[in-house]
Amino acid sequence: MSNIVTRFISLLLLFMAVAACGGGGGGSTADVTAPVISLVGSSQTTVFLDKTYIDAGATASDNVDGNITANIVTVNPVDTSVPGDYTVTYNVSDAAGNAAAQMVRTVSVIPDIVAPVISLVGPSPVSVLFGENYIDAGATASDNADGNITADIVTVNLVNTFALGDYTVTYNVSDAAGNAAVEVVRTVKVVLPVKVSGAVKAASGTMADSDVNDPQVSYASNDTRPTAQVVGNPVTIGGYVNTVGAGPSGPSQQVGDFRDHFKVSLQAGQIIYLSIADPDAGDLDLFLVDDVGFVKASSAGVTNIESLLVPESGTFYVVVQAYYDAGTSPFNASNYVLSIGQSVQSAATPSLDILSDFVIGEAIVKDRPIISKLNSGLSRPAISIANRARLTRFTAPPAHSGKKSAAAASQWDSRPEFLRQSVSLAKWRTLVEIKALRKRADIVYAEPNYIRHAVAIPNDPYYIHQWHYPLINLPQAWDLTTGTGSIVAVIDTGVLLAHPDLQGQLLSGYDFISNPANALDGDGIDNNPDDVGDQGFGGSSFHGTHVAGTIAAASANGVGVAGVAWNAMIMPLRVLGKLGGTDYDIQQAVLFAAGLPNDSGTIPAQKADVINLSLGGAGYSQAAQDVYNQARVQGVIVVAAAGNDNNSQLFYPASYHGVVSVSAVDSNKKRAPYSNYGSVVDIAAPGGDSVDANGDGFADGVLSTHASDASGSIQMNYSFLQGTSMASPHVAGVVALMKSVNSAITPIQFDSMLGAGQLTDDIGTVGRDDLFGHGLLNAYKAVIAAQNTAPADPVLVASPASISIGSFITNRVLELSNGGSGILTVSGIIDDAAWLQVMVTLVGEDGLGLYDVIIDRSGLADGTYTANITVTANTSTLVIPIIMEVDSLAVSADAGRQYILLIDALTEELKYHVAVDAVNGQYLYNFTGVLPGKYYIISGSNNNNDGFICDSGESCGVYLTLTQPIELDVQQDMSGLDFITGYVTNIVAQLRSTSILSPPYPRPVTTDKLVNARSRN
Amino acid sequence: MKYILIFLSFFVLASCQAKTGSNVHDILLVKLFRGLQCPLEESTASAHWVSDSEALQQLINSVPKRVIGQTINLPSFDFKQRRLLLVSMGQRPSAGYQLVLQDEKLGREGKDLVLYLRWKQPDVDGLYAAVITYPCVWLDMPKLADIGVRILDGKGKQHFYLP
Repeated sequence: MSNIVTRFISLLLLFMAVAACGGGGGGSTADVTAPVISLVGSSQTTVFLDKTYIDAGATASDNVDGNITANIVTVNPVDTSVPGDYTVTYNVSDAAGNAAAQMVRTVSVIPDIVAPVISLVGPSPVSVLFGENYIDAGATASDNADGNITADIVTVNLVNTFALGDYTVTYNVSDAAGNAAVEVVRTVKVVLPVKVSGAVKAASGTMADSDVNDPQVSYASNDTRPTAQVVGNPVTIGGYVNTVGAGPSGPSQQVGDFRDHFKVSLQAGQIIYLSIADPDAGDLDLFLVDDVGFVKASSAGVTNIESLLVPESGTFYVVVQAYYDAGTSPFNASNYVLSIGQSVQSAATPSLDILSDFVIGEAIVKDRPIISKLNSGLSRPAISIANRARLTRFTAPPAHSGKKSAAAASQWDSRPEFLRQSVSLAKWRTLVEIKALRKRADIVYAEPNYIRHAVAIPNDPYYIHQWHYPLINLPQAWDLTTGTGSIVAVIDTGVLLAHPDLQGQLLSGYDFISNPANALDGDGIDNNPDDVGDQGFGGSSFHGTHVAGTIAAASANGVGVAGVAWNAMIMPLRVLGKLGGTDYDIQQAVLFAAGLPNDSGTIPAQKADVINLSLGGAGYSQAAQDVYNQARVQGVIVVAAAGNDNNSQLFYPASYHGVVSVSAVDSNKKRAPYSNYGSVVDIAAPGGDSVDANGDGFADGVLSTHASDASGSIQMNYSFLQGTSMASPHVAGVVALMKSVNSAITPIQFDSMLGAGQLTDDIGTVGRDDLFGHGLLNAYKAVIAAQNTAPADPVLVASPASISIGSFITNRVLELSNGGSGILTVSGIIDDAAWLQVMVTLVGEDGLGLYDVIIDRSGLADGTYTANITVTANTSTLVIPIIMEVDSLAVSADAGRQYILLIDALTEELKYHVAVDAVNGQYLYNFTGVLPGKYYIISGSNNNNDGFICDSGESCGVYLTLTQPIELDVQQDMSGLDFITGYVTNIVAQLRSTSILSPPYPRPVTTDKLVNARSRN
Repeated sequence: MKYILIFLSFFVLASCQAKTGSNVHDILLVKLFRGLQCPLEESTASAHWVSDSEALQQLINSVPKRVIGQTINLPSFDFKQRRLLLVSMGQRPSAGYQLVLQDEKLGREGKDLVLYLRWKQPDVDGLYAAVITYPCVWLDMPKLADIGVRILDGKGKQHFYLP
């Protein structure tokens, strides 16, 4: 230690000695560098004569002395009383005596010859009412030398408001140099006041909640079923609900207006939408309650739209409720728009249905990924948690046993009465927890853990053996459609028309077996497609019956088996007999099914959508290919079995161009050992196997309707068969499902969807392969794909698709159009009610265009009436249902109290206002004493009493319309300024933007301004 | 199983007919069943006797059931006096295959009886139902000691010999 100290001290002494020598010895460097001067400001400047000149100065720095600005010697000879150029000099030296280079600035002293400028404050001309004070807005003046000389303006105001006429106010000013500004003049017109009047009409079917928060509106509670507000159907209601203490001050803020009840007659299938104006401030839910207080449907999400489907016809209470939970969400308040019976498309908004079946106490939650930067120097942020949903379990609510626990439970239970008797506390608490999760910023989504089951599982007793339906997701597809409206031609051995499980499933067909020896029914072709057997005595295949049953056996009827598309219809066409079938006979059947001329001399009333051919052979036929081409042109999708030879040889008709070739899989989704394969296979479907892999005691064939004639007579039964014959009708049936949701799907579109993997699950080799084609048929995916496919063929479209007229309206425009492409011609329009009439308004030669649907309620008793308008076109028939009400006690439309405003078009300031209540659906307004000028007229309600009209969820209207506001030049009395006020009810548009008012509409106006304006009236 | 019931219902009738044909030159065959969906599925062609009711029941039980909604009640059958012959084409890929009895009488070649069955194949240009089939024929004949049965097709080709 001592050594280190000794060494340190020695070094320090040495350093000090060297420093001393260097500081005073002749060996050091002398300062020979001069300092530098820098001008502040320009080196040339001007100053007006007789104005003070203040020099901006300079700065100086030296390499040794640093900042020596203070040492600068400035010589300033400027004399502003004498015009001319002057030079200001700057000099400095450092401590070593080095002198800086001199800097100079040239200052020019010049005379001011520029005049000041006067600007008007406010417009000119300006009007003032006769007899009112005129307060001039004045002017401002500025000068290049003197700056702001407004105070020097000389104003001459000669306005006399007690004498009509035009007056001038003049403004003059001069600067200090004597330069005079150009005189400015304002014209002031002393005028007489004008009147502005008209009627704001409540939009048809508009109603207002009777207990909004606007204190100036009469308050009638509709909080309970007994006090429910009776409304018509259709109707659009603007309203407001809030929990205690939530929202702006007003009649309901302190006491709360938790829910609004609306009593209404509804039709099954109608949709009710609740648009929540401010979902951030108010979580509102929607319920449909019956007359004894049971919830029939609900929508309890946390977004800005709730919607529900009316499950059955009847009189119900539609309840809009401000969600309340003491622990998680005590304060909710919002305007809303409730739309009942609108003809709008599905809002497709995910919601929470308290009646749906989900696991109590659980939710599926996805956390928002947390993005953080690692310390490793990575420039890219890293996501720190797994990006997948998790299952969350909630704490169970307290039990109801015992006084103490009951009290505790009450803190958990925020259910209103109608929910108490409809939903368990535990289920309600699950909903509460999920709602709370959904509002958290760190949660992407929170959903109930739904218990999934297909609602359309048929109750047919042998359905449990039809393993081949779940294999292709049919139960899920049945939730979407069961094939209504589709027709499937079964070209086969005919069909046993008397089979009990095919009753009601069969259309008229035809027997195209031309050789009586093959037909076994005593003749050639005939109009009876009944299957008499193909073996003569015993052992007939009854193949067509089995195929038909797979496609569309009567289902959900408690009998036998289910079919793939049980609400589709079978067109039985017989072509296979004792000797099999011939190309020619089959071609005739295909032509018949496609609605084309054929040997029968007839065509079906409606062509088939799909043809199933569970048959085939080895020979190619150009004639057959031509026929399939024709069917395809007709829009018919042809499906055929790929064959059972366990090889890749071409098998026809499956291998014809344009025919969907179907290979077979077993119950394990493996290629059935018999199934053909190869480049022409398009898709795979269940064909079954002979083993009992699933252990149900039966061979794992495809179970369907069948029969036996071994006893000498035909005995109907159900049997398991296997083959691509059984696979093909699965595909044909699913095509029928697809056609039922989108009848316009063409064979080309079908091929496209198939190729895109939209109809299948890809099994086997990734992508298309020779065993399964594009994969295993997935009925659910196929139906979804069909729903999402735009039509390409002519499609008759009616807008609206259904008409709900309510109890006031007497006519409605109906537009018929071609929603696809190609030729579409309307050939007839009929209605089925005496009170209904359809009149041509503007249509083309094709019958497309505008019609007027006219309602005549005279002589009709109060009640709800339904009818149909049937439109027949060359491609299809469209039925447009109509619902109409007769209600002699019904009230007129009402959009709530309207605040009608005159807004200055130039300044956007509120100038005048009136408050009006609806009388017979309209609000008559009359502004008097209006100063002539340019104005907008705006009308709206203020349901939440937040000081603004035209908020989202409040009624709003602008003259001329909301989308076309007009700036009115009011110079004389104007009347008849009528316009509409109502609620924006375009639900889809609201999903994109919750703002009703956006540019170019005028901004909302505060009622504070209304109060001020009112005092002036 | 429907087929089983049906063919068993013929047993009594078959027995009556066989009693009249004790001369081997006049032995009539009784077709108990012929069809495309043989009750006893076999993947390959076969021919065999069913010796007794127990064997028949075992055969029936050996394959998964293929028709539902029916029960099987086996009537009594005199296996001591009668013989049950099952001939199957095995699994076939379409409805274009059949076993057709060409002669309802048994022929005689040497000491053997001859059964003529046409092994019908699909026509080259024909179109048939693309269903897996098990064509077969079940025949009833009297039991004759020490006499075998040759099963020939229409071209004289022997498919099976059953001693």
